[in-house]
Amino acid sequence: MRSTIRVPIAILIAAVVAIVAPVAASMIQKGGDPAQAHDVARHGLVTIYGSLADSILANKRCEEDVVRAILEMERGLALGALDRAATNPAALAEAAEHIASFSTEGGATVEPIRNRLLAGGHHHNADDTGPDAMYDSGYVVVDRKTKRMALDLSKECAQLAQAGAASADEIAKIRRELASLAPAPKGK
Amino acid sequence: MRSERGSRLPRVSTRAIAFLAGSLAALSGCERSESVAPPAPPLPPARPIYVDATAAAGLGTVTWCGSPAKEHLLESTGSGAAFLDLDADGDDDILVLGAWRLSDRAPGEGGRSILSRGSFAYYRNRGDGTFADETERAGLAGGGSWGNAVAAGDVDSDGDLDLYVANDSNPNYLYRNEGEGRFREIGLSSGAALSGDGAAQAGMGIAVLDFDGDRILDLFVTHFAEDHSTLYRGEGGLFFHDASAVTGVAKLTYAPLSWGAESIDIDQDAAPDLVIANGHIYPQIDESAGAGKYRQRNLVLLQRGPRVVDGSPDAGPGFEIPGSFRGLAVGDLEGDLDPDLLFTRIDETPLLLRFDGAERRRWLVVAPESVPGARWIGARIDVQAGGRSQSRVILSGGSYASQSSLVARFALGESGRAERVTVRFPGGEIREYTEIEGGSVLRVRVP
Repeated sequence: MRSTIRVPIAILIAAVVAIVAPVAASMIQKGGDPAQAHDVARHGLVTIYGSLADSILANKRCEEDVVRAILEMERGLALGALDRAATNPAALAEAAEHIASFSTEGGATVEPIRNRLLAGGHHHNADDTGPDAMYDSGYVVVDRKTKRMALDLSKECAQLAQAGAASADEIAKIRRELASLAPAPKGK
Repeated sequence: MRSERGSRLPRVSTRAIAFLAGSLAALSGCERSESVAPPAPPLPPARPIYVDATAAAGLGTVTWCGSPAKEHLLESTGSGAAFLDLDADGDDDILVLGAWRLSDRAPGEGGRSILSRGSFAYYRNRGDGTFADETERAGLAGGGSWGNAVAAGDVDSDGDLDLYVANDSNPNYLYRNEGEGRFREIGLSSGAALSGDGAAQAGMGIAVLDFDGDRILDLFVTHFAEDHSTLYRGEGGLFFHDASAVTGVAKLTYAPLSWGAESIDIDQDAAPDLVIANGHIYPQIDESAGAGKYRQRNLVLLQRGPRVVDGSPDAGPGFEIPGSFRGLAVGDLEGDLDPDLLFTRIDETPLLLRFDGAERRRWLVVAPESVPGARWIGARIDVQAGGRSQSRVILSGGSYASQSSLVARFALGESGRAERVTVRFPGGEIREYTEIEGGSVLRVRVP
């Protein structure tokens, strides 16, 4: 898995160069050893780059946690709606919407954020491309198979909503299938 | 002609020209009046005056389109709009699509920030020339996507207008009309938002048709190059599934970059076919081997049983002409009932393709009796002919940046006769006609 976050890297490295390079140049101008000045500059840049990498990876883990939290929220809301559906069939439509949002890692409100990250060069599964890719571009933990299953489940739920009623068995089946939808394990 | 006051032609000349034109028409057989009477003198031309009524009418939402610097093509294409009677009260409401508002790229910055996400605007006509912005109340804010094309029609045949929006690189929206001017976006759970494998596609143009003659409307959406156009087959009740692969649509539409789309029964076999406008957005693509061409040929998909075949090679020389095509609209050049095609193309004249060679007796055109009112938009027409069912809906919008003439054209097959024609108007009113001969225009009185 590879991540590319170009904007912060470009800005921070420029800042580091702006600090470290003049120090190294100053050492040379003052009669210092050029090789030593180079070592100072390189050491400074590498140290900061290492810290930056920690920060990037921490942010990426944090992003994954946020997406997982969104999924569990949508799943929980869908399950809650299914609980109400036995006495209030209209809740089936609500459940269908939450399952749809689960399938797309947050629905229409998250889509622009994902597009913005993609446009900015941030890909969560950048090495997973082409027609056989497991993930859609920008998706973090819901792979295509799980997405497809969730979409089918959402449609099934919406069809029951339109029918105006669902049996206890039908609701239980949707609950089971929703509970079994599994995002990728942590550290995939 | 300019207004009377500004015209350089004296009135007598105007009369003479009108009389001459009328006489020529009569001599050529175009006019079948029993007696030859001098034509009535033309009315003095009125002076057209348009005034900016935007603010007074209450249209206040800004249509954003990307960043001020317009670094990408998409930021300069704008968004569509439609007059349509969404609340079924007999007057025209307004729907305006919208895109994102972005900041300009700061020096040294890789990306641009989103200042506001795309919002549609729905203005309900109060009936007095002013509009109420009821976007939020109606549930039509758009959810933040980049809307390209919208088609409005009664897709679920419940007597009111539904909306289908093709979004670029985002899930498409399907707004179910729930009555009283309220809509619910059900795209994802309807099956019409994403491709069959769950991917968001670059939605460009829309056609609404009854592909398989089951009287349930289907949706067709065109997409970018190296991604197939999608045929969403209706299951009833606003549920759909992607039938692109099983029908052969996916394979035949994968390579070109597609825009406008219209459903026409081009081979008159009582099964609708599809015409698609193609053309790439980057001229530079010609320099990349195997990456396609900037100027592409348009495509005809003929229905053959449950699948489609490429009918372009047999559709005449008009379909051999390459271009960077965009819009596509259907009309009738000569009043011969044939579906003629008008394509727009980048940096060239439009391409007008006249339909030749069909049998007039097989066409049936259903048209409004007079200037159509708001309730003609969304009217659904079902035709039973030769044991087959065909359905069409009068759309506002559809295709890509184009509007076809507001008629429904059916091919009746060998029989050349429709056993039954049923017209359902928004609001629920129904008119039925029986034993209609082909080669004619059925004029329908719109409530």
